[in-house]
Amino acid sequence: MNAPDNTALGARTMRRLYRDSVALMALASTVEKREGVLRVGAVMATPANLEILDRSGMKPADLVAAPDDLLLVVRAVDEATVQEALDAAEAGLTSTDSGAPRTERAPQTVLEGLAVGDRPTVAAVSTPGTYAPIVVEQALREGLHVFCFSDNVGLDDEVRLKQMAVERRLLLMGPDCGTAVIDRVPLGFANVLAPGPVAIVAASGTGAQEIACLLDRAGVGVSQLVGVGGRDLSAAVGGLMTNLALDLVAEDETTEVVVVVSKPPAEEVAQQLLARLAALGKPVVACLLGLEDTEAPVVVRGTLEGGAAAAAEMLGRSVEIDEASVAAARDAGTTGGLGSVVGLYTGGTLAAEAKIILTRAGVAAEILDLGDDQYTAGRPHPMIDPAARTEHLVRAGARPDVGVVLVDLVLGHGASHDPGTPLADAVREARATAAADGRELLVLGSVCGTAADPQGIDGQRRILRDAGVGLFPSNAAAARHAAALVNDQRTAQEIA
Amino acid sequence: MITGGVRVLNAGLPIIVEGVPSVDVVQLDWRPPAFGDPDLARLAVTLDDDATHAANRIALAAVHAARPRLLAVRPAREVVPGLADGRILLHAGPPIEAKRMCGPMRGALVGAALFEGWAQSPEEAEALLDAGVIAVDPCHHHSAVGPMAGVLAPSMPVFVVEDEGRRAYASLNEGLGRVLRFGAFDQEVLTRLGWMRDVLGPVLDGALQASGPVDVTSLVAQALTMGDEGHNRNVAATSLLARRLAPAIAPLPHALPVLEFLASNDHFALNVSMAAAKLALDNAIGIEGSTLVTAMARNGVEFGLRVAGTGEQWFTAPVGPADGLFFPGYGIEDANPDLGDSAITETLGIGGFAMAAAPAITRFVGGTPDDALEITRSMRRITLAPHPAYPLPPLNFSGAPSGIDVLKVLDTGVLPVINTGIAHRQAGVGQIGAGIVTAPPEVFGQAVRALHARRSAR
Amino acid sequence: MPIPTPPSSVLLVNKEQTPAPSRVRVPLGPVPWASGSHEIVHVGQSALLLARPAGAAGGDLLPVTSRARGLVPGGLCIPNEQEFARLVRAVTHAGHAEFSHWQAAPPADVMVVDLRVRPQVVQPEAVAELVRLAAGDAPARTVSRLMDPRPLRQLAGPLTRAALRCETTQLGLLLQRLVGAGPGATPTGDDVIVGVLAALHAAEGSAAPRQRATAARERLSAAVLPLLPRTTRASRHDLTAAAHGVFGEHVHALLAALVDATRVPATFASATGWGATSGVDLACGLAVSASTALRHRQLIKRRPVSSTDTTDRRSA
Repeated sequence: MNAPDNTALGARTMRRLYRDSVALMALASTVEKREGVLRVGAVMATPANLEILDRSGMKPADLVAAPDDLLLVVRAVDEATVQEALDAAEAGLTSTDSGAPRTERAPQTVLEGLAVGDRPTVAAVSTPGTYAPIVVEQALREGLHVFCFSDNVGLDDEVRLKQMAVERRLLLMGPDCGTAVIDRVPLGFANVLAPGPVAIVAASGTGAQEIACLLDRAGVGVSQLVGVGGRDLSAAVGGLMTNLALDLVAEDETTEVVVVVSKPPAEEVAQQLLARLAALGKPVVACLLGLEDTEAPVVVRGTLEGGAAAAAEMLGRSVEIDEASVAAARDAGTTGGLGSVVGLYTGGTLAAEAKIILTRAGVAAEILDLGDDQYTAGRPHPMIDPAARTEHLVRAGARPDVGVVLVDLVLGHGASHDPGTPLADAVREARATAAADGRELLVLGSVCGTAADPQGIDGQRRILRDAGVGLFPSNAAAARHAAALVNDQRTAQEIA
Repeated sequence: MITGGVRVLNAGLPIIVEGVPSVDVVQLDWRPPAFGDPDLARLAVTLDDDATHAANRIALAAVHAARPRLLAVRPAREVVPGLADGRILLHAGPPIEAKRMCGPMRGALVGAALFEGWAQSPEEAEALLDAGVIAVDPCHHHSAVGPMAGVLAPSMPVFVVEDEGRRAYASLNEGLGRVLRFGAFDQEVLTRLGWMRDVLGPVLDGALQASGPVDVTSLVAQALTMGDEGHNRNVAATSLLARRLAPAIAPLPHALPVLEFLASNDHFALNVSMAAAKLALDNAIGIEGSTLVTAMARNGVEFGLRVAGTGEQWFTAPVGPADGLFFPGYGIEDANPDLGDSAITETLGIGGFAMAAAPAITRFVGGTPDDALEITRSMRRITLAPHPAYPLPPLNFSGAPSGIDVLKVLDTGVLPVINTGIAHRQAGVGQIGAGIVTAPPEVFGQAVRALHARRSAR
Repeated sequence: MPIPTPPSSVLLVNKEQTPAPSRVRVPLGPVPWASGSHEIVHVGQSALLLARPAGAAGGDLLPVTSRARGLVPGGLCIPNEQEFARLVRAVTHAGHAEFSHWQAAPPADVMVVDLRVRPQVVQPEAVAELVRLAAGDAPARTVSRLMDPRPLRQLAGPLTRAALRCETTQLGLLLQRLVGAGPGATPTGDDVIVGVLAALHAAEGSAAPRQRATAARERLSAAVLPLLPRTTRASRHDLTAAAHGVFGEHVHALLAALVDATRVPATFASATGWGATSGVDLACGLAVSASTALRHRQLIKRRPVSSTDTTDRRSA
């Protein structure tokens, strides 16, 4: 049987190489199992063997070999596969430790993982959502705290598993928990934070990050950052994990001030939460987005920036939204900006905060959370893949009605290594598109990160500034400026 | 805040633990459990609790406590429950009607019917079987086991193994070639069966009565240190058994042909260890809530699984032919779907599970001694504990992986490995190859559903 | 008395002197160790193949084997596994072997083994059993047809018949197909020929009329020798020895099993471990050839009985 013509044949002759025939047979079988490999021969190059090869269509033309040479022949689907197979075979022949023990396989299941070395204390789960409840349940049964990054977990599963966790006094952070810092160990998307006195209990990932980064700027470190999942303060879940997290941070000796951050909770849950916070025994800031700022019985703030500022104040520090840098950013982005505001966010809570500020200022705006399921749909989260935001930005640049675009840039572990460059490129393209149409597009934003983050916050800021982004020290400051621009513009039109 | 410090077990994306010192991360090579069926995985996790663990400890302790002794060789009619009266033949695997049976099993039943004198011709025998005049029932339902077709007729001699008053039985191994268990029923086969009934059985029984019972556990344990794995290689166990019985056989009439028969049949001891495994595993049948597998058996059409917590219920799935190594001139197209009760050895933890003990046969099943070690190691992943009586020298004398847990099978997706001979699909051709097969995944899913339903009903 | 230590001795490893093995087995004839540097041809699990210095007596190769492999023609067997391993380590470390000092301080216990095959009586049942087992052997599963030894093993019968019947042309054609053909460092075809030669040597005792077997063996040997350049060094060594009636201990083990059918399964089982296919190739050549020779005799016996046949039958 001759092999079909559209396949490739290759040979390698190894001069006077004697190998154990057991090794030769084993080698031939191994190579034959490679993908794309059709047939393999590993024989001594005797005339009789060359004839056998010839009859089987396996003898390469112009082969020079003597009976004491070892001949490797491979027929495979293409030339590259042939060469790879020959390389692998040669490597196999020349390796000497065929009897060496195999490397142990990595553990596969929770139970197998627990048998490896020192017993783990926390399970991080980022499997597909359908399986996440299974892994979480296995981990809780084994007494592990759980950080569940997976989303698409059913509400009933969340309630059931959180009840199970609370019974065992174990944290179940999530599902859909983006960030946590437990005993100074960061999980998920986490900024590199100095240790300090503030504990953050967060039903919102980027919300917690923004607060932590603003505190960092104020020189205030973080003791714990406990994510509880976006639905924890819903009526169905009833703050099960928020309550446990509050118990734990209340007991935590390193914690002096506690910040709870969430979108506004369900009404009855909010009442219970505020009552609980009032009795916590440590100073507390309830940063519940969109609520009016109040001071009693518990300090409540409606923005992230406000929450961070209140917490810093309790410790005798201040989150300086440095007037000079605001002014500089304002100068960079005051000309033009005629038109409406569009927000293109990778961080959900940052988007929510922007929307709240614009709304409070009476400005209607189109604020998109690009990390939301409806935009990700099968693609990586825009924090992991910044390119996802590019097309939205470019489209905004082509829209004559859009004058201002608000953006965020989140740094830290888990985020891409250089998220600034793709955003800067997109900004340039969008601004160029608008300019070609005779408009100026203003892009305003902030960088959520700390000086210790692996991406290098100064470099990332410079990349954005160079692309013409007006950079503010906080997301709230950027949003306030956008609102001011629109209102100035409106006033100007009214006067005109 | 966390006692013992943060040490992370990561199931999923490595990026999640990017900020954790790598010495504090155990990265899992996580795969979807339960063969990718999330609903089934949920049921399995629900069952995997303290109550189940406690039940499994009890079940496994009962299995490991068994110390079966080979007591006697007697006609099946006298000892096997349900064979005393009437026309009944036993067969391997889960229940199956005569009409649906595969060629080798029907051939063996025809041979057994002729042997018993219930039919004068093969045609008559088939008619009686199809009409139900001759009843058929699984060996497993009668405390018995049989390799391949596993056909047992009332006048055939059986090994009797006993432990604390409980007994199990197995047929006597006929050797290789044209034999009943591969479905052959010509005169040569019937003549040999007659000799086994009239000479071999009584002589072995006489020898056992004279020499006293044989401790099967220690026989198997010793054989495992001599290169047997207890299923496809039994030459050491057979030699040990023959050595033990030879002095007691020698003074008896017909001693020479009996000893010659033992000397020529490398698998003679297999049936003894099968009966012993059956006796040990039956100790766990009916232990409420236990997820321990108590039997795996094939009837040539279906694979059957039994689990302690569901008693005598069978979970079945179609069984395919073993894809092993075929003797020259034969291929998978000639192979009968997998057959026999002999997987009772793997159920206990020997056979394929003890491959590490038998480097000599790895080549026969297409591998190296490294592969054998790997197989035994992977079987540890689905078993409850090492068998204390069966230490394996190549694994530093840790015990053979014993006690298959259906929950572990679903959690890991690792299927039990079974060493098997391959029968020709036509009756009587005999063995045409050998290889390693795995149990079908479906049966483990069925078992978990049934266990879950049972628990919900409580 | 100072112990003689030649400068480039293999016994000098890490400046520490390793004594010669305490026990060795060697074939009948002059001791196999000679002066001069022996280059390494191959290091295997159970054998170390060395090239003799040019001009040294006893052939091209010096195979040093372990107990598992047994003594082979022109070789040296070190039965103690630790001593074998120590020697292999010393030689591979030095890059070559040097035995000069063994002349002065030879191993304490030198056992001389006669590797010549003698005519012997064979039991037809044992031959049949070995044929059955050898025919049933299959290589590991994924071996492609290129690496399949079985088609070559099937030529053992025709080769024996051609030798017994003086079919010189057919004999030449078969040898062309066999010498150097098939997988392994000693290709299958060569192992099969060695097996056939062993059977014909043994068969002089019982199987075929003695003169016929002798003539067949001589014809086959004569036809093989000119074809030696067509195969590997290791095979050339084995075939040359076989043509002179000398065979390795493992071949002797197979022949010994042919007098007693009950010894066949165990012997065959150990043969499956000699190389990847060599043991079974040898067993196949040997068994099929013996069986062919037995049948050949039965055919001849139906013809008018000659005087040689009468003598032969007595010995059977």
